[in-house]
Amino acid sequence: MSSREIKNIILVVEEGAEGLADISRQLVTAGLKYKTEWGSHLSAFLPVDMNGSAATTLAKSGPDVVYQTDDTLIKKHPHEASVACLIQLINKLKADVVLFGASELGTDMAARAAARLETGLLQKIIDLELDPEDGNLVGVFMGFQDQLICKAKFGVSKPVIATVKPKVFTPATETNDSVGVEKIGLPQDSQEFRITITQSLEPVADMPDLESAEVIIAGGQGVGGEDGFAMLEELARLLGGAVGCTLPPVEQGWMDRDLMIGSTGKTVRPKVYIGCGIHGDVYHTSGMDESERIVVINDNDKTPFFDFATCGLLGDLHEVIPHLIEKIRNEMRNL
Amino acid sequence: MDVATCVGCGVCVKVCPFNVPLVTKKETAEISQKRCQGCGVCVPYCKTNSIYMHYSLNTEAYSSDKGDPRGLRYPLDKNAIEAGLALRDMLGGKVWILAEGPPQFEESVREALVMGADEGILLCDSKFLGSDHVASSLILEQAFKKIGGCDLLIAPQRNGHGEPLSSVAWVAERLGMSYIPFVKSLKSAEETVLVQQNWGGKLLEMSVSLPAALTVERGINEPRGLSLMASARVMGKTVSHWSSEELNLDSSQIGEAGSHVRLKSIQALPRSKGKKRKGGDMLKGSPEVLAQALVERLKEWRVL
Repeated sequence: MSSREIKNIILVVEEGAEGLADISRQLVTAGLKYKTEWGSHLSAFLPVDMNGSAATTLAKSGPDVVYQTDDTLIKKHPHEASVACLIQLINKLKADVVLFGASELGTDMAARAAARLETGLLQKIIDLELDPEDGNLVGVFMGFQDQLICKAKFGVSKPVIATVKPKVFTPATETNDSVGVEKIGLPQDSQEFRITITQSLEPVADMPDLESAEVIIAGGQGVGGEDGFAMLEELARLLGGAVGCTLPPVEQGWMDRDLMIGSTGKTVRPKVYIGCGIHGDVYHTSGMDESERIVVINDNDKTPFFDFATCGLLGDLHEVIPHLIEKIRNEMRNL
Repeated sequence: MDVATCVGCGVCVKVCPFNVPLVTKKETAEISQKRCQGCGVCVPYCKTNSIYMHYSLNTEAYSSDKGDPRGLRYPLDKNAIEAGLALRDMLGGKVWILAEGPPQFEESVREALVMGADEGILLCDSKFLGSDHVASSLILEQAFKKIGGCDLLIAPQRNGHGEPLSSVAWVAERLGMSYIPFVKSLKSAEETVLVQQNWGGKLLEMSVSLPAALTVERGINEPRGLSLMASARVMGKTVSHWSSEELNLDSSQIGEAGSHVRLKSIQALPRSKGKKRKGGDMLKGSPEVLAQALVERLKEWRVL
């Protein structure tokens, strides 16, 4: 049986605070991988570019061609207008695969596009492969709190639509070569718009999810109470991180069960994990021992958790952390 | 179940929403494949990695008894229900609860009635198993048509496994409704609803024409509690069960047959056990010295 050819791949990317969003850079890496594997043509579509710098970055990152919208309606009705443009592009290129980053924008647009085209959708894939038997695409994704690897097969309907899980691929870097940027307008037959933006605000700095946070401040029994956790939260906000905990704070009612890290809670893998007043039972460590760097703050040098530490601080967290918060504030002021 | 590695700790018994696992006299767990709903909740909890999942559609759960009298711990998303109830309390109208699942889910639907919902319907048919977004949306679409449509469809942002509930997009598309996921706040206005959503790095405020389909985030509201009075009031109410026949759905349109994406395999992730790091340094000194040392490290690690 002949393998199904993947001739055209479209990546749908979004702008970040500066240039291209991190998730979109990762998406470009994924796209380049499949381009090499399947010999496909790789297009990238940037629906919204308010700052105007994302398209330039994108054109230097590796896709064969970049598409951008130039319609002013996109600012007022981004949800519907961007999908209308995308559908037009999919039809024009006869795309076989359309990939999004699994951000809010990507998840939203992917579902809209798949619904309009009545085609298959998989969210948060970690890889795509071709079925050796019939050449249909197979999406690989993590299921059940990221503990299981699942594979699901797409049917023959085209295109295949998927969002790519964050932090699976390394972000693509800019090169000196730049490809062309083509403008596409809104299709003539666009339906009336039902969703109208009334205000666009800077987002309130939400604490990131434990699973996606790059920095996690975790607390155990030693934190002592809600006041202690408020202090950890302050530290986490300064570092743009999230707060987690072990089982005892949940049992005491200081913290929500959703924030528990460990075998019966979340599994995390931040760049830096700072554990405060944690004993270090396997029930907790099994949920965080893949962290890149682990800092342990405890005033008992016999604490088994120090065995996991990249860097251990022997001291009372209630004294160390206020100093830490103050020093980080000073650092930020100096920047 | 791998009996050789199971230590009979009983964590699977605790976490199973359907009360399937049992710890036997041999001090190992036993999971009845007939009663298992395949939700996978127990797998990550198992400390010895002894639970394996096989991919097959378990139709038995739909024909079995009503489960354990202790009831189920598989609650419906209370934030989504609260969002609907709050609007109804202000504007009037009726709140319908639609849930899809095995007969045991009836208790969860009943809980929504206790919260104050007007009608509860359980979409219950073993033929629904294996449906992807497309097929599940068809089931929902038929159900909506049967109740005569609605102005506002509110669903949780994530399903029981934490995955985005994208089937709502299909329902919205087919029924000509506006679709907005990741809703953080919701207010009613004339002929529209005003919602907030994080999108493309911005917090967007927008007006959305009715009819609309929204999926709402957990933090959108504080769900109301359940009172004994209310549970007495809904005692006599029935939760209707609708199967594919009642929804005029052919078995070729739903389940695996009606799906564009079909699950092929499930594999447990090999887990590394407790990696200890040797060679980490232990810093001692006054709190201020320690804090300064950590600041230096954080700079070195580029998180500061």
